[in-house]
Amino acid sequence: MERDLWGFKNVKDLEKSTKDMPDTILKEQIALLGEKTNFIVYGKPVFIKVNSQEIEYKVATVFNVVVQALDNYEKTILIMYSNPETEYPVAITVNSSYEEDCEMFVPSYTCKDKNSFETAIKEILSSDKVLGLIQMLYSKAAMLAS
Amino acid sequence: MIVENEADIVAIVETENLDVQGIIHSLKLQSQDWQVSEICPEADIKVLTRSNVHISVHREDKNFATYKIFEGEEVFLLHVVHFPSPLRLEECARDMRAINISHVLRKMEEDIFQKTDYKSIIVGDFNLQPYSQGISSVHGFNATMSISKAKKVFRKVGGEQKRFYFNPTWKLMGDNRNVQGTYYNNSDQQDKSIFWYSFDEILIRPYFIDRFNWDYFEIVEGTASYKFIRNDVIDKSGYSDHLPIKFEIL
Repeated sequence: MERDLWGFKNVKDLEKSTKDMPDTILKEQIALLGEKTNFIVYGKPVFIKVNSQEIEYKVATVFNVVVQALDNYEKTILIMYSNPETEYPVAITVNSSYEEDCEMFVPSYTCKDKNSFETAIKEILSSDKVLGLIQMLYSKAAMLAS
Repeated sequence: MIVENEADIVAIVETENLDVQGIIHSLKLQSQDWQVSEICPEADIKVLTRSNVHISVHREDKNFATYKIFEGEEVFLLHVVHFPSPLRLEECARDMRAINISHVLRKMEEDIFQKTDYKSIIVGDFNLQPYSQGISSVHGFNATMSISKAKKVFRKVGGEQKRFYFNPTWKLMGDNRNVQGTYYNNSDQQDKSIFWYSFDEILIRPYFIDRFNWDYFEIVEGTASYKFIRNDVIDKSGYSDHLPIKFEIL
């Protein structure tokens, strides 16, 4: 092929340019949970096409925690709302559910750039509530394993 | 009631003041070994099962809880729902809630069943009639009263395949008996003279239609020693404002 008119060289180049995107950052955190717990508790994203006029974003990424030892029990930690055509802004809801967000959308965080997104995600994932949930699920799974 | 109806699984909502451990203990005294399934509940939903039923909690949300039931190699999904009350939300808002939850439950099915038959049952207090938008619309649960239509598995709307549920609850509506629904109200918000409402429903995926035991399916009006109906209406003060429904999958 003689002509390459694309703006990136290869996958590596593409990955480099997408590393600060909210989806990539969230995906990293989802992957980390499994690594940090020997996959006793791991993360799983669920994508929902938003059909609500209440929400000005088109895609909901539900961050679920999965516990394999409990027959793949799932619990939602947060929901990130984004638009496929733009990186930012994104909105995050916590302690809510998709159906509740569809009726009254009151995001806990609205992030306009990478820094505010990382700060928000850090605040959520290191909160006492999330830590307590992970500890509880880990302990139940560990009890079953023993 | 659990023993008399030879139940294997009991789903209850509005359980804040219910002594579940007391029920389990009382069943034990009758040589029945039962358990409650919960991990980190968010709603007032409880599911009790005989200890020989292989069940695990899959999701616990604010308006529903989902359980996996294992039978040999097969996995079934049981969703128990409790949707907002008409006292709290207008019907159009309740429809929207049902439509949005139906998307979440369908996502779960896609994940678990993938290309195979969807083997899900939804039971509970929908706080919507079987003909409401939330229950019967293709945008919601797409639950039909027609067996022949449901057996086609889906209908295409706007190029998209919309999977059916079959809703056997239609059979109980307006039956030639005093009790014609599971909820009684003589002051309808729109002055309709309905009186008996079928807010408590069972929606089954087409996979279960031929295994549904029509002879067992009914609204429970009492036990041998206690009647839930007094003066032709539900005994709210002595029992509950909803009547239970029993069904069997053969």
